[in-house]
Amino acid sequence: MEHATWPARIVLALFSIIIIGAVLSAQRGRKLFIRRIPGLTAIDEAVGRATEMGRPMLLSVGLGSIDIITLQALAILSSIVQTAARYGNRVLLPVADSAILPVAEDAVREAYTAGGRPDAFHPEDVMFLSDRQFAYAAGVAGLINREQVASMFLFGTFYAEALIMAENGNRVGAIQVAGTPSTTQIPFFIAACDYVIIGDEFYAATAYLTKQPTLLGSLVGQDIVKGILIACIVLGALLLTFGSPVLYNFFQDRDLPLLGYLRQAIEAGGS
Amino acid sequence: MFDFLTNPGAMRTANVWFAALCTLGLYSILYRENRFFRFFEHLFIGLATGYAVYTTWNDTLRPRWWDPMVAEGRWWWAFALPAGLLFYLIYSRKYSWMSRLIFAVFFGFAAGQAFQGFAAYYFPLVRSAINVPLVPAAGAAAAPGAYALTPMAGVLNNLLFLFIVISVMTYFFFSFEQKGPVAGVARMGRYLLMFAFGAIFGSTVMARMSLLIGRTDFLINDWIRQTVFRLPG
Amino acid sequence: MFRPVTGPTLWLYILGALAASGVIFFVLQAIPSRLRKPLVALITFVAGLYYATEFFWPVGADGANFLTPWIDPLAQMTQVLQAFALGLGVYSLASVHLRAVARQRSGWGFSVVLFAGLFAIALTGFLREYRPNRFNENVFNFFFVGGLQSLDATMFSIIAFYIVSAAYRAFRVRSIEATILLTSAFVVMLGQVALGQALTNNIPNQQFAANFRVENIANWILTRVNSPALLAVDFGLGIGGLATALRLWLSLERGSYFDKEL
Repeated sequence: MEHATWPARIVLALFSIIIIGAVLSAQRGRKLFIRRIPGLTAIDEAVGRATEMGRPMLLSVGLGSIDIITLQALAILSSIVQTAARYGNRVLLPVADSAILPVAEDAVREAYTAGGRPDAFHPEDVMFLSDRQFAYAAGVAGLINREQVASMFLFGTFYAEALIMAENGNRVGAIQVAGTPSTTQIPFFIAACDYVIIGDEFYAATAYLTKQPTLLGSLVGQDIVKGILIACIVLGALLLTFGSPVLYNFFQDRDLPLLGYLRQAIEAGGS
Repeated sequence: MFDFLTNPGAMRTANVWFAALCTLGLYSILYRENRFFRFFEHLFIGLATGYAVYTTWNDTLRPRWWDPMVAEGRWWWAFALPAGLLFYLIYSRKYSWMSRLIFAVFFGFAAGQAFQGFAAYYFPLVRSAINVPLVPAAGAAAAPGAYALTPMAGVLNNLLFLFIVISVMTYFFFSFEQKGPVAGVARMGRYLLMFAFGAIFGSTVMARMSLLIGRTDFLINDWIRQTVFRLPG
Repeated sequence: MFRPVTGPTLWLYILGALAASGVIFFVLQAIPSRLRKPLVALITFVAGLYYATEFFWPVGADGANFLTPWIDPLAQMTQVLQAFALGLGVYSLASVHLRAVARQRSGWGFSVVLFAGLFAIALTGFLREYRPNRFNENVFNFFFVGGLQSLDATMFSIIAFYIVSAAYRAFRVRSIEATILLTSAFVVMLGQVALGQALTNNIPNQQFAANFRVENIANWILTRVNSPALLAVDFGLGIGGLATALRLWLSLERGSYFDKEL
């Protein structure tokens, strides 16, 4: 779909209003709840392990460029670095995209400052390795083994190199927390890492870690939208079962005048 | 002295030896991290970065910026240079905030494209999720090798499909405490997720094994047999 | 004003554009601190507004609206700007390793190897491009095919070893979830290899009995369980991504990077 159909305009406008409305409502002081996310409760444990052992932590935002996923990953890692900064832990953040490097460096510096230890930040610990998938993996593997990292946090876009990094982390005995929207890599993270954030938990992570009203409000909006989507799917399936493809046609690629969708449904139901 | 560099046979031998050493060097990490691995790791990163420099100029900057600006006379592309240099202001204490201006453009583009991305990718998925009729199709017959409860097999599969979609999506509700039946459905959703992830794991193993077979074939046939012992291919 | 120019005048226009950029830079650096964050938010919003408007605005019979012609030039501009950022990565790499060489830190020899590889392939690549002959082609191929591509293929193939160790560790975990994951993986793997298929080869591939052939079970898991589960995960990710994009676009995002005073 290169340009919006009328259903796309309606659906996206509705979803956007719900999410923004929930955010604004949360900013007005409504107390909000977020359920426990198992993988994220282990972050303190992982940071504590690095402190006890006096070994660095390794963070990675994967192979993504300046996109939503990488920014979300950086937001999660900033929160982790803030926790680590309180204990003066050393954090290594190799990046695979040069365009992300300044954002990553800035984010880590600010996290150390927010954690009360700006002096503990070393710019050379946020370094560019390579934009090539397996050169990056080889560099990270070497870094993990040489630095004997105590904990690893892998959040972002990962592909096949994910398992290389996670297994090398296991070899040095690092405690590992991973989360990625790349569903094809989640099984390997589950097998190789100690804690894994699955699917949408990736986008809920910052809300869980920071308890910021804006982010919690956004989660409420997302849940409402998910509920609407489930209702659409169930209703659509039932309608289709009884011969009415209204909702099925509603989500098609072709644009029709609004009433055209109903007319299409009636005609199809009659055939 | 360098005549062998134009000799195809000599170059093939050199390439195969170099490739074999690179292969063995990286494989050595399976034993433990060592200087041999470290040599090839650094070589890898150096080669990758040098190649990135070459391709960035050759495939991006020259055809999309330099040639339009200089060869085609589109002088306004000159503005791209100071805009691109804004990235480097991160290293200036006084002007580092200006690097946020170029990132603001990228963030804005990424955010603005999310609407089209959502509609283009998810609308067909919603259609496929809706397209699960819950009554037997007219005239459906048992197909050889099918789950011969047909025509009910299709309906059962569709019901299962809906149940899996709903239970997995229920697992991903965050803003309320999951209690009672909802908790049960969510837990079921998590178990079904593990089932699905196991399937991905299993279907990927063979693909990875074939890569290892390919590399081992290179070492045994191309390197040891044909290059070291000069046996026929 | 925005027409292509040829001849010596072109360089005047280019210098003029650079001079104009200098003026813009001086104006920007004079902006008071309290206006910097709103300026960044405004640029983010306007940049996003282009793509959002282009998507939502009605189109004509040709499938385009008044903003559509700008999509390709903007994409080109984005690629060019990102290409300029490569220098940051090279600078980062160079500064770390040059410092190692200069101070003769432990392992500085490997940093020399890194620089040797970098210059070797970059130089031979440019020579191959601007002085094409068999000599330059062969030397470039030595580093690219013999070096870079084989290193890539090796790292990719190394995953096979790690998959086995990961599966063994998952097997030792002994939780319900690990058991489900491994059982499903095992059945799918069996269904894909001849050895596994041979186990149930004598079951007829017809009627109800076909349900017990391992390749049919594997196929059922992949199409009837895996697909809807991943679809559901995808929906959650899509909604989460949309929400994050909205927060970013409207500068509602929170975190140490976004909360910093400029």
